[in-house]
Amino acid sequence: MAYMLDILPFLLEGLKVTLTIMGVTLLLSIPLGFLLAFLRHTGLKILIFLIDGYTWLFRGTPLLLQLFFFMYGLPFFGIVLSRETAAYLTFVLNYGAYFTEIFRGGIESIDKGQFEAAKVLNIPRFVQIRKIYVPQVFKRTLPTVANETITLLKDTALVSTIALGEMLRNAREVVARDLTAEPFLLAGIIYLMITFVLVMTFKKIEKKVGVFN
Amino acid sequence: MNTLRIDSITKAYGEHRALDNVSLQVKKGEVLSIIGPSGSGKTSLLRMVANLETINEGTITLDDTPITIANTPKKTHPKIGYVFQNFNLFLNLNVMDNITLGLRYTKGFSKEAAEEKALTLLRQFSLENKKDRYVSALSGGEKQRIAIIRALALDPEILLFDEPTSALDPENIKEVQEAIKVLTDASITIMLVTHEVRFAKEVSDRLAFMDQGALIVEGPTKDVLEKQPKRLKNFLNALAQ
Repeated sequence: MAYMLDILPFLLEGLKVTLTIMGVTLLLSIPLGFLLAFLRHTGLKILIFLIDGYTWLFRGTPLLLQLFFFMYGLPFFGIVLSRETAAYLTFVLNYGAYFTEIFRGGIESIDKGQFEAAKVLNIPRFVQIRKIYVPQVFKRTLPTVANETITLLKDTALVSTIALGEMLRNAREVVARDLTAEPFLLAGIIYLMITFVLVMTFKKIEKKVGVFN
Repeated sequence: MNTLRIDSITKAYGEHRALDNVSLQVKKGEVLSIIGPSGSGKTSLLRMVANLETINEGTITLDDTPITIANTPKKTHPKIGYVFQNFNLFLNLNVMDNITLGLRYTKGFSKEAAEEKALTLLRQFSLENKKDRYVSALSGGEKQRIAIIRALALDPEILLFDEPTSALDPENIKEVQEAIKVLTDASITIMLVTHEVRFAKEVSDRLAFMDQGALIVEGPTKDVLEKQPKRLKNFLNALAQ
């Protein structure tokens, strides 16, 4: 136990990186997903083509490959990104693609009648989206978004491959140094604790937005 | 003198001619009911007046100003209100917000002014105790009456009803009909698509009968029901069975 407490600060330092990547990704990829899903809903062929191309590309290739490309591939084109920027960019674009598809499904599940009602009332398009569709899409897709968030937490461990010191990488370093499995155990416990908090938080949000059901 | 004039409207979906050269006119304060079997084109006609669908040929004018453009999507004219068969209330909003959304963002009312106007209307229809309810907690009849209030709140000069009682249980039909009746007594112009011939007879100044995309007969309610062309007679007999 004393040993665990000893190594905890080093793991928590890694946790900071883990949570920052997660926070930045959620903060940017969810609005990106909403924006692209609604742009796609306009029905403009060129937009549909571009957005579908984007989601195909980022859902169709491994996250790890995308991470390597932004970190080690872009320099061949004269673009050099810091490790953090490469990580943020990869995760935002990758998760943005998934969220676009999730929210597209959400928009399509809204009964067409509400769109028509908004039209005959001449409610401005932006107000329609903000006041009517976003809340409903948000509510309908919440369980899926919760799932994605948990996956994201675990996916952040991939940034260790571009030498970013997130929690699992730090745990592995301690394992190599002290030749014991306990750091892995501790990292596992921390992941589970965060997941628990996430699950409880999403349950609370679901309950709150479920009021119009 | 608000006159809605529908002039030689034609609409086809692929091979199917939904509307074939239909012309109609509704004068200010008049109640025109359109009856006819399913697929006769009556709902399509109403949707075109509200620009929910485009027309292929012909024009629709309000006080001699065109409100539609053939084959071109357009906004609904602000003087036109629409009540849907399936209510189409906004599910994430409570009754009050359903009514005030249009007032605030289309008409530019302040929140307080919008709520005051909504409350007046809710009182008029004895629904003020439902103002905080979400749509899922309302009966079918209440939903439709709220939908009527929502349309009415924007002060339309013409109100279009698309089979407003078809999605309702029998016990809810009467309360919605009563609500519509209140409006027919006011000076608002109404176009009502319905299956309820008895109700149409009761409230309409004029009656139109459509079949297979064509307007078969139109005129003062009494005259149309007295003359009864063969197709209308068949339709009414079928309904009575």
